[in-house]
Amino acid sequence: MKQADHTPDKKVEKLDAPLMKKMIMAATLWLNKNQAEVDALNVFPVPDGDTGTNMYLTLLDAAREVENIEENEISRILEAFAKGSLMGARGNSGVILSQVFRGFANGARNKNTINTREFASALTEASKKAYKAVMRPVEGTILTVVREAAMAAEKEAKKTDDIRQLLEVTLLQAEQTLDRTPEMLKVLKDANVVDAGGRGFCLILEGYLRALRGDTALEQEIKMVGTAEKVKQLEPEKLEFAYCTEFLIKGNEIDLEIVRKNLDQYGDSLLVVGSTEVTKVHIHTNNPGKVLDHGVQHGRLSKIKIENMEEQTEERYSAVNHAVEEEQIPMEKDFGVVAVVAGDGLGEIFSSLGADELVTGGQSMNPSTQDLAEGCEKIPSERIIILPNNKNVIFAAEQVKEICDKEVHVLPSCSIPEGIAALMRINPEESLESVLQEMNNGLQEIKTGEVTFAVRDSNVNGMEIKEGDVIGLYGGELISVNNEVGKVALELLQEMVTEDDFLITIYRGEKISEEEGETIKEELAREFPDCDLELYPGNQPLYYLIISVE
Amino acid sequence: MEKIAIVTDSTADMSNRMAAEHDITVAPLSVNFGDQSFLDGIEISAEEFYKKLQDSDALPTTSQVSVGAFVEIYKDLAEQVDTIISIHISEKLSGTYQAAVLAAQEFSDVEIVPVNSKSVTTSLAFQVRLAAEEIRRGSGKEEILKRLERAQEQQKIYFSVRTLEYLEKGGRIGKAQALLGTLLNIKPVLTVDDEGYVAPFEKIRGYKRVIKRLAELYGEFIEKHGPNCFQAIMHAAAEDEARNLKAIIEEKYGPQNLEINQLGPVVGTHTGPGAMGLILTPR
Repeated sequence: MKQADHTPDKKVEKLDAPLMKKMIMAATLWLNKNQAEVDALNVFPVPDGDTGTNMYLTLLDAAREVENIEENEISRILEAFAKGSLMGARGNSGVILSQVFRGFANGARNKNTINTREFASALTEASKKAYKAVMRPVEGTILTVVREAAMAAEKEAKKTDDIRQLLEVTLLQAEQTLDRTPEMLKVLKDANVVDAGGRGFCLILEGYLRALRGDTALEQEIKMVGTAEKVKQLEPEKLEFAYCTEFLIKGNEIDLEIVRKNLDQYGDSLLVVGSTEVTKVHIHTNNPGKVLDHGVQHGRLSKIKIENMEEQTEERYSAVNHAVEEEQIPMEKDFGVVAVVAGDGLGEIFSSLGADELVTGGQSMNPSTQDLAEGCEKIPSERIIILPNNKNVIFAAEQVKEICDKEVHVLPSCSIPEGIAALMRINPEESLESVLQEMNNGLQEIKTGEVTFAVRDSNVNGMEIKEGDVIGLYGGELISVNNEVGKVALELLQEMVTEDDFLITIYRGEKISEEEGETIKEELAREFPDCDLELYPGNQPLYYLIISVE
Repeated sequence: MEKIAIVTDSTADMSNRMAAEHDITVAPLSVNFGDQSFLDGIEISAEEFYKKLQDSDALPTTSQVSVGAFVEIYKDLAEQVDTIISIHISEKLSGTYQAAVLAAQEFSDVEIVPVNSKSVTTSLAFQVRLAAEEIRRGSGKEEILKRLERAQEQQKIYFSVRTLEYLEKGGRIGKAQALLGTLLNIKPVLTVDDEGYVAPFEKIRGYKRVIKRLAELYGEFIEKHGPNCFQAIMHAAAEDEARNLKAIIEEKYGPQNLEINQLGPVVGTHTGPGAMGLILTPR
């Protein structure tokens, strides 16, 4: 590896393009390493802890954008970073993050390099931009962390010309603010956690700092990210080495240096990391057998994975070409519908009701703005309605308007039943305007309940919850805790159903068999004789049941 | 004075008494179970039909009125009247109107005016009754046709079916085709549109809501056209549901002059049992 132009003890007076690039890669990796910890910081004990994942995926897309450009001005790097993060934005946290980067890029416009004062003022811009992006800013979130970090940076920038020093102070303030988030936001205090988005931001700052300090372990892995994640190629490349080979060696006193030396001759992209007991090997080679032969001399092999990269590239190539061919016979529709759905059963229901494109996602797997935009592009229509079907996807869906040339409307459906109710209202003979109006009316007329499980112990609304308990939510509020899905469904419906209601629909998740579903339905039918009851296989993950009442 | 006779077909679901009272000639379509064919309303009553439908494995089919049958009817009437107004089921739902047009061309000594009602069942019967009223009032052909045209513009048919299967298999699903293949148990409110096609009016889930929605649609119509309308609830072996709908309507809007009638064999063949509809025509 090329020697870094800074050493652990040398101060950094200005950030230039290559250094910024390295910092971005380091931040991405650092967030990836700590993703699970951020995910665990969810307020509500439902399995929607995905802030860490969303932020990481957003950052990863942004980093890819940066990786592919060769520019000498830092402003160009930051511009690409901001653009990439918007394209990749997933979930609320991802979208806010993309706004932070956008603000930072705006603050550093036309700069070849940036010094401490410029860094601080760009961070202030970032904070302002993030606040503006949120309709009702809430203190005690990532917003507060960014704002107070920026204030600390402004103050410190007057004292120092060392960016490393500046970042240290900024990070310290960010972490202190983060620790105070439970005092600012009651939901955090009740759940006994700090804000997940704020934590993610701290990790990004920490990643930056680690790059400046020259964290070599991180640098090693940056190279890996760079090679493994390159995907966007239309032409099948001629690969020098065809087989991507990965495995673990488990043994005693494995000498990583010797393994490395032995394997180097068989290919490229070699990576040997780990400890003397467990070592991970990754190499692109034309002779995976020989590589394994060498590996087995050092210990037992495990998790062996060999893939033909030529095939992968060709498949990708033909998939893209196929899509292009299909697009040549467009049947122009007046408007199209993109729906965000998880679970094949729900997907089929949405398709049968007229959704043109499905984007996989939902709770704990928010699709990115880019995924949604791609869905919009696939529909042969210039006007698109997006059904996010989850409140955490609405924000990302709104951003599609920024990157998609089509006329995009977001119908703010917060749940699967709301999405279905809205789809039911579409009359293709009507104008788009009245269709949207009708769909909105549809949202108002349906109530959503969810039966899922607690991911950790907690105490909500005076209810004691143990990890794994079955819990029932009505419009996002915790209503019932029990150990049986059927009982929770009953308690939930007792809360939801009023005398004006006619129909209860149950979409069973992938964990609930048809038989179990029928049993629950029959029990409920006895309890609610005035309503029609319908049961469908939704096969959705995480949610035992999604229930609608109308 | 110009003497005018009115002809319609059995899909008007008019009772014999009503037809006799207004001096209407009814041309029967046929309903076929296997190789057995029955003249609608003559050889098979609605009650007999729904019972047979239950016992039969194969779905029945229907046949339009033949040109020859119309020629026979017109020939008899031609000796008594100057003009025949022949009002029929929507040409988008049956070839009966077309047969009437062809039959009419065979005559030169009597004027025969086939009318495409763009409707069916009691909605068609309402047009026939309007024409009969005009004749009693001494109106001429032009006034009658004008009256029918206005009725066609204003009439409404809202109906629901237990399953779309019958409309589909009988080839009468029209624009409601779009509703096929939905995985959810949709109970659409259907209509017969301006052109006379079966068309989806609204997609609704849950039968109870369908009833509620039909009652609302009734209210909207009465509000627009006043209570003095021809109005009826039609059903295919679903009398309880029809009474329930009437009760809900009357609870909401007070006592109404709502007839409840059974859909005849030919229309019932295409809606399937369990269908129910609201038929409204301003006077």
